[in-house]
Amino acid sequence: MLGEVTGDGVFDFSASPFAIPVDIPVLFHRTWMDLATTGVAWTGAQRVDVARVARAARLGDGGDAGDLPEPAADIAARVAAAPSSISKSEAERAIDSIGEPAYVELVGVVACLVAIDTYTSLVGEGRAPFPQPQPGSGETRLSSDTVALKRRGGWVATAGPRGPHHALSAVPGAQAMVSRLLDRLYIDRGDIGSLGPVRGLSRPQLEFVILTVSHGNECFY
Amino acid sequence: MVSHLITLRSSVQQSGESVDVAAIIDAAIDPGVPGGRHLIELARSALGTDPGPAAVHALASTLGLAAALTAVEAASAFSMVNRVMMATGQPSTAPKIARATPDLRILDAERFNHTTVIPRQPSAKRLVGRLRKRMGGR
Repeated sequence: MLGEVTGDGVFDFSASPFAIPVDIPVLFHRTWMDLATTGVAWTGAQRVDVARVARAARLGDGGDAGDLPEPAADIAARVAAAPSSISKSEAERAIDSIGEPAYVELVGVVACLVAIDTYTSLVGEGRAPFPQPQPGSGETRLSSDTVALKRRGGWVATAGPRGPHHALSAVPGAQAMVSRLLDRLYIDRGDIGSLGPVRGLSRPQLEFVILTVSHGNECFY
Repeated sequence: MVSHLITLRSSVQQSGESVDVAAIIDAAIDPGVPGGRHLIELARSALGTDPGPAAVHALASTLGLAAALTAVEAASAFSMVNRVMMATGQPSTAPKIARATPDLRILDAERFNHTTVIPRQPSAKRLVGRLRKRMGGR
């Protein structure tokens, strides 16, 4: 099982029957610490509360929302447990209530939590304990401080074209967490055009996995 | 799904493999790719709230451990990406949807589209025109 929250051994797969690549625990540990660090809209403690609510929703439990505003707890639970149920009007209501940077940051926290929970559960290690909120002021800069954000047909403004590497770009820290996981767990964005084999799977085999997950989640994009 | 149906078709064209996406929704159908049934089972397992390692063991015994762990990585990555894309209402373009429509129909997935459809990509000619306008040229 996975170990303690603090220290380098958070994601210790040394007893796993699978030879987990050595960079995975390092990547997950970094993400876990980022997740617990203050962002542009939420404190580290609130971000851990977002993760707690998200995990509880997926497991069908009522999680402790801490001092999260109710609309934030609601949308965190929806993104985690029933993402296809979120309509444009519901997203807009949540954004009106908590603000767009807070919404974007929350989506990033929930999405990263789900990625790591899915991985650790699939390899039989259960779910990692939540990280302790990290000290420090964290991220204070929005993309709008340096570039013009624009709506490109999506429900939130972005600093770049549509797609997973820009969807959360209004909050650079949230985007960086997601993109770092995606680059490693799928394909580095620099190699995305190559249709060759990927770490032991042919590209059609890999895409079958992705399509099955996306179909199950009812993700059209 | 749209983007990855297109990628699947392009990669199949390049590799010469033959696939049947209907296997995603019908366990009686052979997906066509080696280990396809175990790949789909692993992906389905990832959709559950508390997946265990059984599907990974099964896939590893068929395709090897490296391939099985890559499938775990992809399933985890897209559990994340799907949520990002759906919660932010990322749009698709009409030409891409049109390319994927035969497979979307097989998978009964057209009903998943709740987002904006962008009519078409800006053509190179239009982009050059916009750039000239912005620069104050003719």
